[in-house]
Amino acid sequence: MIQLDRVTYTYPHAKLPSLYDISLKISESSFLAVVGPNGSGKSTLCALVAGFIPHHFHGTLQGQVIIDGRDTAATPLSKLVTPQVGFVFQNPFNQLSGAKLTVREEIAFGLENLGVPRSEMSQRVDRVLELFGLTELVHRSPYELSGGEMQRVALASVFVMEPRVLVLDEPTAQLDPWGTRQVFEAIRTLVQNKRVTVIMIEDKSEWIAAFADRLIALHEGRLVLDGSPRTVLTSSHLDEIGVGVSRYTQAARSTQSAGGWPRDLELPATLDQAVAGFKRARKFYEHLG
Amino acid sequence: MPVTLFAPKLSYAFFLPRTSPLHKFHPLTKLVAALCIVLIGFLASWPHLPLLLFVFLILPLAAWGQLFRDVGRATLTVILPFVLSISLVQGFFYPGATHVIFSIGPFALKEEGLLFAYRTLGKISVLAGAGLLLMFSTHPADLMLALVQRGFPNALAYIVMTAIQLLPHMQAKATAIANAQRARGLETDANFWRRSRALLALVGPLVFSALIDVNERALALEARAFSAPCSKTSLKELHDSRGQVLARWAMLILLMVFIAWQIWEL
Amino acid sequence: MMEKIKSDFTTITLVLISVAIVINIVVGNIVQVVLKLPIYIDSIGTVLVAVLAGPLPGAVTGALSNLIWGILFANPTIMPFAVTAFCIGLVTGWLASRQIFKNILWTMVGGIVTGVVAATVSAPIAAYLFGGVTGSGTDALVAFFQVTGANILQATLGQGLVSDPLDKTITFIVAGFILRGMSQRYLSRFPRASNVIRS
Repeated sequence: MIQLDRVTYTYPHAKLPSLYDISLKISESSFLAVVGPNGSGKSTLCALVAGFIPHHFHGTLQGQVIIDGRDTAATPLSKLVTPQVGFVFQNPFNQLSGAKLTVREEIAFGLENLGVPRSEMSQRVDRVLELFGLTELVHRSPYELSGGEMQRVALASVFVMEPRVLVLDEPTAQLDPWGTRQVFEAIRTLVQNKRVTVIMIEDKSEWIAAFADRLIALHEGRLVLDGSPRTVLTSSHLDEIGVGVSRYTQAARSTQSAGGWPRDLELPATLDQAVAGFKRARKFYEHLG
Repeated sequence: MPVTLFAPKLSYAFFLPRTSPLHKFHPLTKLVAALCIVLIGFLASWPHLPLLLFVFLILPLAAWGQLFRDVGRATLTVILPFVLSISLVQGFFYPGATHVIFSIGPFALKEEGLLFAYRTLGKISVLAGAGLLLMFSTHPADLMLALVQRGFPNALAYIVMTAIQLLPHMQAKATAIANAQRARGLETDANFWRRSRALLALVGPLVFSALIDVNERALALEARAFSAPCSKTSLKELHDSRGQVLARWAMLILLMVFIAWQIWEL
Repeated sequence: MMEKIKSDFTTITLVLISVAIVINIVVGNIVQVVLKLPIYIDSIGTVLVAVLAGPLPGAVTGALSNLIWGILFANPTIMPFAVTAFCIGLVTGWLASRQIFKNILWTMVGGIVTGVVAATVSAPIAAYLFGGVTGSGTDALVAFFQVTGANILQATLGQGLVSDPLDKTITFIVAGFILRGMSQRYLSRFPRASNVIRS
């Protein structure tokens, strides 16, 4: 459904490519998480899927990005991004259009731009408000909200346009733990309710492991790891490329040599996985007496 | 020590919500009315017309809109600097004036100058009064929507509303930068040269920090179909009526007739 | 022609215009309070837009800044001068395309030229709408010129020619420094980046 074919991209005025020979196939309704150290090309990858590259950023693009059979380089941005691909950025503040005075109008902004008739607009907005638990905030000014609330509004504003793909570029990076939780709960709602393909850059491994079907890791513009979240997140290669492993993995790893972790079991990435594994190991030892 | 003088807290006064009939009118009706009043006031050859317009048209309309004190007070605030200035400058120094009323030392107050000052102040009052009445009774968002519906580019509404909403944030940033610079020893109360340097130290960072986010905000707009080529709809509805449409045409025709009359009289 | 106009107003230009309007107002306000001189520096934003996006976006920035300032500070009397601000944007944009912002001396010349244009456009507005006065200290200049025999229009023009070129030259220089501080990568996103980037 989304296909990258040997994509190499260099930003204008840059000396080296930001992405090098990336080939990737993303299937419909899957949830792909992307990890990697700073500068590894994650945001560039997202910008490619959204069509911002090459339409907004120019630069040199080799290879093809195909979404639903359409080459992004050949399709105009206004036909590409919003009907197909929704994009959520890191900075909640910058995503507010600034042109609307209430949360309700802000969410409707995208639909207004698409020329959706008023009655349909109203219904869609109300549905999304409820889905994301924003009904109490309808009449507030978007600028008066907390970071987490702003980001939920941004998510809602994009989601109301019913994109087939949703790209999230570190949506919780600038939020406090409470805001982070709010956003991830909203994403969970989204994933449970709708058939949408999600691509998310996120370094909070516990959350990724809970949601994602698939995880890829980038390093210096190349695709280095690709697999299930648990496999990738516990891979020893992660340290090499400069991505930290979660504390659950660390805990299991440090006890592994002493036999604290079952030898046949994959290292854990989440709390639940860790608890299950440690319980099994303990049973083994209790068994031994 | 919060800096108050250096980066003053701007207080904004525009739309004042009231439950008046005036507020319920369609924005274009009020805009056309204000423009007509101002143009008639400025183009009138009869010197007393502006003042009469102000007292017998603008003020009653303001009262009807429950804005009498607001319009009155705001107009006075706007007019005050002009009153003193124009009475003195044109009163004493009006070119070609000869009829002296009152002299003090080498300076003579002349009738032509005072008459001119009177006429000009009348015109300024009409401009201020009508403009304030429009602004106090019409929310910029509604006015922008009305204009866009009549064919103005969508971009206009975006620019105006965004600028209005972003202003307090930029102001807060300016204050923060000013405080930070002051904490680093920048002097803001000293002589002219020091203050100029202080100014540069403030303007630079402020402008840069404002410009940093421009690219990302543009991308976020693209993500909301901002540049989609179709015609836009609006969630908000403005209420118009046949009566108002007729009234707007009537006012415009009245204006044309008036202009024609004034030209004919010349 | 419409196509060319439309292409000048890309999405990023619109965001820039809106930010520039706010810059105009905030900086203009600070300067008024701090310096208390007939120097306004309320068109830094206009200049930046004119250089980065062209004359028409610059003109729009100027005109709208004026109108919005009038709305927000409940002062309709500055609104007629939106015409002046519009012209400042146009002239600056044209001068920028002549590459004046790549050299500080030419930048100063450009500032003087723009100041003269601003004074020339403002004079009739101030003279015929406001009787030549603005309610500030410069009105003494108008009085002075009238004493020496000028009519109101000439006196207003004289006052403008004393203060506007200075104000615009300072504005141009500050704008020049700001533009120099921007990276190539940032500048290349704007339609008229060639006005600034040395290739």
